[in-house]
Amino acid sequence: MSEGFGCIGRPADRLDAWDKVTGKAIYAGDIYLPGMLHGVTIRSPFPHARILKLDSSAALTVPGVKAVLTAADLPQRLVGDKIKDQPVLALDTVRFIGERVAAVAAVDEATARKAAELIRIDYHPLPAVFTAQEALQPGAPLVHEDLLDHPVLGALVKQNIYAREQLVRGSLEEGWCQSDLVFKDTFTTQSVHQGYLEGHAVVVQVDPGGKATVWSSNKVPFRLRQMLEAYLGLPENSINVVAPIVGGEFGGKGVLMDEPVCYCLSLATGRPVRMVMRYGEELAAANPRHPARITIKSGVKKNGELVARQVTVIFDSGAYGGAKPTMVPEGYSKSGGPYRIPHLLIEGYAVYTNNEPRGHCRAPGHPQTVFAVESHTDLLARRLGMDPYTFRLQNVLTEGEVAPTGEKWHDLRGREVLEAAVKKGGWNSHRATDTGRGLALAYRHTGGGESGAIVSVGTDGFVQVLTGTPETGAGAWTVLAQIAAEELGTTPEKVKVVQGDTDSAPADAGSGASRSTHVAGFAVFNAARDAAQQLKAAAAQLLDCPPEEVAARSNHFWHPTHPEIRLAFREVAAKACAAGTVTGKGSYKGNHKDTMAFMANLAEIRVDRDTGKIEVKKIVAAHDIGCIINPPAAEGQVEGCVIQGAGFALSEELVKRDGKLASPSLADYQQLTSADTPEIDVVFLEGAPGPAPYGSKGIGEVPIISVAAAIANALEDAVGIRINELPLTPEKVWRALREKEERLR
Amino acid sequence: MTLELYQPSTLAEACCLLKTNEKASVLAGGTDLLSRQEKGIPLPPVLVCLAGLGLDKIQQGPSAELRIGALSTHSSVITSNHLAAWAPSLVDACKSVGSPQVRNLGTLGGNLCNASPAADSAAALLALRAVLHISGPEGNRFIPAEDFFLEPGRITLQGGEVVTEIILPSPSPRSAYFKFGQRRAMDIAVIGVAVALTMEGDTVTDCSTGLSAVAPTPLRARKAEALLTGQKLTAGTVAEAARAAASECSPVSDHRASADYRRQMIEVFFRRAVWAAAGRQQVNSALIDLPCFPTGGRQVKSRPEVSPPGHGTSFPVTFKVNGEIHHLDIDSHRLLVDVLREDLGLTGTKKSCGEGECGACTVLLDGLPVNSCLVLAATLTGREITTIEGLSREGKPHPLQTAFIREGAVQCGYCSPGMLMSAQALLQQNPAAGEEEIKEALSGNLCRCTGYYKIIRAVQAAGRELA
Repeated sequence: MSEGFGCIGRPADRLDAWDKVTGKAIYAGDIYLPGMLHGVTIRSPFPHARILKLDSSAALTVPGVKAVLTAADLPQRLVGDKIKDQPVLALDTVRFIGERVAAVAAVDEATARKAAELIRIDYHPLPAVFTAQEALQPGAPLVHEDLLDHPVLGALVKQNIYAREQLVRGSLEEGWCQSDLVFKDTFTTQSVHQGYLEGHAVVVQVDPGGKATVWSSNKVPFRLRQMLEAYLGLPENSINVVAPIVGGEFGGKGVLMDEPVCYCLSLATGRPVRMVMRYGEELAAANPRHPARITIKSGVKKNGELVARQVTVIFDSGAYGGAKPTMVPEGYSKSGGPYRIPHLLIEGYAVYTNNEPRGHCRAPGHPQTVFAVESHTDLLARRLGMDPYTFRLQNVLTEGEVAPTGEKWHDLRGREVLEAAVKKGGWNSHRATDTGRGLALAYRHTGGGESGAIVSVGTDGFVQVLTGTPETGAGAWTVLAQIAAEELGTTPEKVKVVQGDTDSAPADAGSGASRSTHVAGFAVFNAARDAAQQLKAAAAQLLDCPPEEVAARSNHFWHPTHPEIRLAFREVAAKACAAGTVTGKGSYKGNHKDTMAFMANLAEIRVDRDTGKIEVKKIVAAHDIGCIINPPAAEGQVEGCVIQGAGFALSEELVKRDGKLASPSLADYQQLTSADTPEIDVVFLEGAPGPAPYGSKGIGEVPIISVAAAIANALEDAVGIRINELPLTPEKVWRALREKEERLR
Repeated sequence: MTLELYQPSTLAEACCLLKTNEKASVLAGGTDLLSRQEKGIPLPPVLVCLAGLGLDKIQQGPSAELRIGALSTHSSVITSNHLAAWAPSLVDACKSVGSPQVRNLGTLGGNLCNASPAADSAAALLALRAVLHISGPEGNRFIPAEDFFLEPGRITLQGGEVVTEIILPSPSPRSAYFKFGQRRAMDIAVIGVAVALTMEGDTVTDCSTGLSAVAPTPLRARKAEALLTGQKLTAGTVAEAARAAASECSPVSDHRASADYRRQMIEVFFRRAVWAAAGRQQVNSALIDLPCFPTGGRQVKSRPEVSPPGHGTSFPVTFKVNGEIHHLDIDSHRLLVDVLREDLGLTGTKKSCGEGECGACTVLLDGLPVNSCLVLAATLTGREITTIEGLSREGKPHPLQTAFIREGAVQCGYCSPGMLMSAQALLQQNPAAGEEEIKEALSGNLCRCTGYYKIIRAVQAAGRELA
């Protein structure tokens, strides 16, 4: 799509890359301040227990310890996003293994840990529930007796339900009547960690005058500020949140972790305090992806036409729901798939259990739901004796049709991405022994929100973009520089992007929901246009033509009718600046759900029948992206998602027994390594415009959604077994193969 | 927190220290000992570091036996031409340990004395009928590796004793080790099987085995060995022996696998190991010439001859970082990563998992990539360290840095410093490294953002420029 554009669609080197490859990039954990203390927390060893006694006197006597805090020392408020249900330090009850109970600040981390071990806490264990199924049983122990009077949650909490949502269209009863055949399948998915390498890190310095500075690895600085101020009972802007470079987040760094307790430790000691979560704490007690149980019942006609569908998605939300900005992870709402289904009922539940709070993880709820939906799609096709590709083509939504959930989207590309994946990966061509191919189709919206930007142009022709949106790794700043350069007619190398802190930058919704290019992008787009107007006005005087007729491109301003007459960007910038500063302001607020980004995966795998091990040979990822802004960055999002999705499919699992993580170590939490990577083929389809500038669509989350389903479908194609429970570990595959052999005997 | 660290210069001194101080433990490569801290297991209060004793040689002994110093790293085993010919199974096992960085630190002796039931090298050494040379205050003794293990984490060493050598009595070119895990790198074995065969024609004249992660200690499957000895190798005889091997094991069910599955996998990999061993040549010259990872063909640099400064809870240490000499007083317990970041302000080296499982803290130690979270800084006198801040010299970008930017190999950047150091170590040795070689060399560096391909392309591009 680079035709007609200056720099949109052309590879741009990342603005932050040089600092990152030289070790100069500063992350929250790299901030060391004079007199800084180190904070640690003491966490509950029980999944559910009453705290009987808490004695921190011994810890306070350790030389070097400056403060020990318990719930009694903290504001008596709960924290959370939509719903406030979580204490910063446990009050009288702990609800998961790893819940913070007390905190210590000392001169160094070793001293703080030593002191922490001396805090004596007596617990009275309470009955606990470890899965959503257990929690929903009548008479199950209640996770939140404290919330029975909650104005919103009240009645639901009696059943351990945190949230319930429902989507209806048509009439199921009618749908079942019209169906020739009805099939029902149940699927389960495991809890996985976001897997960013940088553990949560925060440094807080509370100024004696009252203003506090918070450096946090958080990806939503403005929301972090609001949540902290609300918890602490402080007036707005009492806190300045500085968001350094974030070392990956994939949804996991949008909530409060150690920030509130770190603030309180700094306040109590009068010194800056640094807290960095150990990776074991990350794995055991952060906010990983929700495990889910999905039941899908579909009615079909014998000719393959989908008629009706009923879906129940139950998410295990853990002990607190407040850690996420949505109630039921939104992916549940996609369980109709991008198919033509006139009669539909979807119910989504988020259930309290005595597990660590589950949070947002790259496309929240989608990989779980779509694993079920697209496995089920293949199962339906096979039961009808149809080819899964043909079955999808028959049912996929076409232009003008209404989505199962009732929306009417424009520029649908479901069919096209399927066709592209099949063309690239081959579908009917020869398969070697124990080798199979699987397809999966999915879609997702591009997130909305608000952002603002200030674009200033200097006399030297350099441009500065001030944004509040953080760089979490996906390349947002570089895209913002490209957008500014495009609108000003200059090149991205001339653009510097500065992320302001919450004191100095315009408010911003933060990174997440595949929104940065859309929301921050449009804010910069608008600000750059504003600045461009000012430059064009200056240029128009020199060119002697109306400002609206001046064209800005290729680092020059051009006369509308005499292409030989042009002015250098720098010259115009200098002239405009001489008359006053050139500062463009832009803001944006929007949430468009009239277009979707479609994607299809084709997986090719080989199965070792002796061991059950799946070797993924190749993943094709075909994406409806609208418009590519920075090609290597877009490919990077897809490739990263594919490997993360393959880990979800094959090896990653937070294995727990009675609420306790079996091995809080990356030795056992098996993210795929470079040696495990399959071939990845990325195909982009441009041209169906999305809500972001230049018709682009979010690409940060979509590519993870259907990888697991494609692999599960390839497994059935390869060796004729179907597994409805992720991950597809060698042992599970081996067992299924053995059971199949026994059945055939 | 205090740690009393001893850095003796003679073996006798080391044995005496261990004998007289009940709280003292041995520090070898440190990969197991130091990684436990992250799990909340504190370091022993007293450590005796064996690094300065010259126990890292691999050499032929007087009776034609091969003597492997107990402090030899897994990497030095992998790159030893002797071992490629003598005991390819040990090379297989060492290649399967952890990551390239861990293999550059972890030692064979340490792997044995840690006494994990899943120790890869232990299985190989059992099959090779290795003999352990143990030195102590009372003198020397020699015991078969098989008799060394008592239970998980417990071995037969007496007070003051140290394993100094691992002796391979005779060559076993027809030997192989298979490790089964989910991933191709950084895994703890679900099970591991080593088999060593002597053959005349098709007939097995001698067979020995070693199995890991199948019982409380690594073990030899004696029944299986007996079943194969004197037999021709056929699908039937091998399958029967494999069944026997499985029946001799008592695996546990845990989060990695069930006991039942482990037993089945013992059978599968026993068969595969037998065929692989049989397929290896009696004299395998091809293996000697084979390039190995991560230090293919290169002898690991022996440690500088600097007399270690005795003992204490704090040491004056002199080492070079990025070409600059530093004199520091360092508390014994402190890790290299923390000293780099906190004392020298070199925060480019990142700290993440703290147990050698992610590679974010990778630096070069005398040119080899290591996890700086698994190294006690006080032991580094005379050593040379290169961090990300030292990759580009004189303000000129290193070709790897340029390529990482150009190829889009950088996203969040948290893995980038460690990744670049691993890539630099590879390219210094082989600028023409191919895709598989690069994947292997980077397998100890996790990256969650990129899916690795853009990094691989960048390393290839930089290699072309450096070649």
